[in-house]
Amino acid sequence: MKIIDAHCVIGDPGRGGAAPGVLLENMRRNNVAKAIIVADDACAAVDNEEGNRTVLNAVEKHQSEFIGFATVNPWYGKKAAEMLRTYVSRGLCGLYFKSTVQGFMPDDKMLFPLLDICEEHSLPVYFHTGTPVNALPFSVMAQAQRYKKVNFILGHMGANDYVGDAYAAAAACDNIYLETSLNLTLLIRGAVQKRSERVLFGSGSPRSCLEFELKKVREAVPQQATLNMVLFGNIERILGGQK
Amino acid sequence: MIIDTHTHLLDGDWLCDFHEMPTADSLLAAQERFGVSQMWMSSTGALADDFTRYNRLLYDITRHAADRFVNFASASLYYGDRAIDELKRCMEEYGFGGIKVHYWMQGSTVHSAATAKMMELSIRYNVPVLFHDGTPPTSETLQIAYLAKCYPEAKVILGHSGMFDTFCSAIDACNLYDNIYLCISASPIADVNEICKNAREDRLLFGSDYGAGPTEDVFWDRFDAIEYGCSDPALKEMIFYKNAQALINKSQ
Repeated sequence: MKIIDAHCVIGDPGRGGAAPGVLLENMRRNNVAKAIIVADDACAAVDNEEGNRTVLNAVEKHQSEFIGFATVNPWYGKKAAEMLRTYVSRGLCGLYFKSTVQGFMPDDKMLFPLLDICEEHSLPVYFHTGTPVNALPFSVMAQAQRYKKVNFILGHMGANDYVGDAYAAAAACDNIYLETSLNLTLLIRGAVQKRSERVLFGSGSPRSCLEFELKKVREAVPQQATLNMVLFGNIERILGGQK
Repeated sequence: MIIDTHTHLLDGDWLCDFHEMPTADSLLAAQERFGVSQMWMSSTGALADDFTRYNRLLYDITRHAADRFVNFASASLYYGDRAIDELKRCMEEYGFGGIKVHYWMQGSTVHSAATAKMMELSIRYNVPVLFHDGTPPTSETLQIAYLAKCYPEAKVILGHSGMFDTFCSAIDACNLYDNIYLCISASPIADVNEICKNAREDRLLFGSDYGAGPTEDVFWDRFDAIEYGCSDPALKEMIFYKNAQALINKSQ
């Protein structure tokens, strides 16, 4: 069975990332074919260039295994937009935000130039969610309602306390997706029961274990056809620019 | 051996889909399946409805297997003295061994007059207070830690050790104040690892949140997080039961 991990962080282990080699080893051990990789927290917040270079290097070295999302801090304004265009032209195919370290509200209008680029290039956008005040599902939904052609991924599905908001956001907008990492088996099951076509398997590694996250999804989704959607079908569809 | 210090009696559809009322037998069977020798349990209905009725229900269901349960009384502090009287009744008439507070579900805040009375009551009866923590705006980890600072004789359990985002605050609070315990329940594996490495080892407890969901996955998700996140067998024993035994012995 094919598996694509929708969320892994690479970079400095002291900053929430893992070395690419460590991730690859975990992927091989768990039969994960591909992983979407993003930069660590310091790179997301400040060292965007270093983070995007690291991700791109890893993608170029392991083209069969890695898919890279760019990250830019919207506070950098025009520079952020230029950097996003540059790295998209070089092969990164999504945009990653972690507003809790980058310091903005997801519904802020300063994201518009970046979301315009995402719309232009059919790039999905991943937001860390579950952290109040500035990483919550409804805040992302405000952008999803403005940018109906862009696919928005609610990272961690609103995590522990905002899963209800994540479910509601996915019900309201057909361009919102729910990524499973760090969440509970029963809540993953709930997401699949409500919107199986919008649930994406993610491990959140190295903050969690790939094996453990896979175990939860397999437990939550016993039907093989639905499991295939969650493990690879849905993410492949949105990476291809479709809803 | 496992003592599960954070469980719920699923006595209605307050937190999730309700199917049928648990019985002593069904709870003991669950303990058997999990390898748990004791559950520290509070009512979910008492968080949202007639707390007098639901605390009594908890007592009635568990009374004939009293050694397998430590019951935690719950009453919305919005009801002021009525809530305090109920907590007192649970201690004196039912022999409950703790107090459960969930500001997020029950309203109220750490700054309310009723909270002060509740904390003083917990000291008088020498019982721990288990707080849901990690959820702003009224159940933030550092808000609960502030209560522990104000009431150094109380025993304060952070019910989720900072939960998703504030485990570092939970670790710092546990190390700073002598009366804070961290119930590891809902932490991602890497956070469990950090808690184990950096927090006072004699203050760590295991809690599954059993009863907060309609299926048993909740127990196994939380149990597995400690299995994956804590590599020290001796520390695992402390987390899974030794610290809980020490805490409840202190309270008796």
